[in-house]
Amino acid sequence: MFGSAGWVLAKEEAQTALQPARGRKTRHDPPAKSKIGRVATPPAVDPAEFFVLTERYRQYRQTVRALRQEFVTEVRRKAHEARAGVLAERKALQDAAEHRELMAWNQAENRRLHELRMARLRQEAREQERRQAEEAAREAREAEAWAQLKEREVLQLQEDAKNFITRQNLEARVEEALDSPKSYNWAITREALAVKPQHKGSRGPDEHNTHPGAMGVKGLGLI
Amino acid sequence: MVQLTTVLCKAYHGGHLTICLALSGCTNRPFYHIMAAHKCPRDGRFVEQLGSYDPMPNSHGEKLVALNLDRIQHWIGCGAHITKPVEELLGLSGFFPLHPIVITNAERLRWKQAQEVLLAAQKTDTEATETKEN
Repeated sequence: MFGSAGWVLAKEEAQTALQPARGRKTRHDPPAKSKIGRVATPPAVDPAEFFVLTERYRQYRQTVRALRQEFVTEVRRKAHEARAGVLAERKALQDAAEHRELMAWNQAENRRLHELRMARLRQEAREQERRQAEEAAREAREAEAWAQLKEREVLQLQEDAKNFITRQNLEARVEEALDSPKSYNWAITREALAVKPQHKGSRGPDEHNTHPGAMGVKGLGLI
Repeated sequence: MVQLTTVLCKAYHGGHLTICLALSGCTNRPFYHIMAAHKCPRDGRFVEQLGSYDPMPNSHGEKLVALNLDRIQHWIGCGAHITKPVEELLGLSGFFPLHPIVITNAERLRWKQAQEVLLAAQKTDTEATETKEN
């Protein structure tokens, strides 16, 4: 079935095989000296065969043109159906319905998330208020404690102020201090032993100390 | 002698798409793809492959041709040119009417074969008459 077409194409290939040098020269190379007087004569045309051939071509092209027109109308019909046919309309309706469904679902989802968000925000607001209330209470307590501390200090100072030495009390307090038996005339060593100036006739428990004038801090009655 | 091939030029103008054969394969082993392409090199950019053609006969003596008729119809409907070899292949497959060149070549071959048979018969006749005379 494909023999004749294969023979046509095989003939072209055979021609190329018999002339291996064909195409060796480019169009810019000059023709050979042996080809000077050559006149290229195309193959002779048989008029009867040519007439038959033109007639065949005319019929062939007529048929092919008709086929082409058929194919063109087919393509245009398909394009029209794809654009505005029954199936396309149904598909458009389905797409619209699907779109509406999806939009409704989206809105429902948005509402749900909005509810959740509002609940979360309310919870957070409540938490915030509670924390703020706690903070305020703590600050109030702290302020109150501070005030009480300051009050105590003031009262303490007021009480201490009663024992302050004023110009009026000065002479009385001086006399009192001078008259008191307490003596400040002592020092303390590195071993925490108080050292008093030596008096004639040392006291009883001090005899065991190394220094006759040294005595423990307790012995002075200061601690 | 007048060049008459211009009379047999393509009669359908316009369009920028062509259904043509693109050569591929190795040395001494051609293989053609049937392509729909714009004005590109033979083995360059193409729009779609519509089939293939193997010019070398296989073990059963067949030359295999593949044609995607649906897409070929679509591209012809979009206004594609077709080259001569593809037209011949479509004609032989039955999708198009048989190409005039194919018919003419077949007729020429038959005429040549008939001529050869006639010459052979004439030669045997002359030899027979010669032997008879002798």
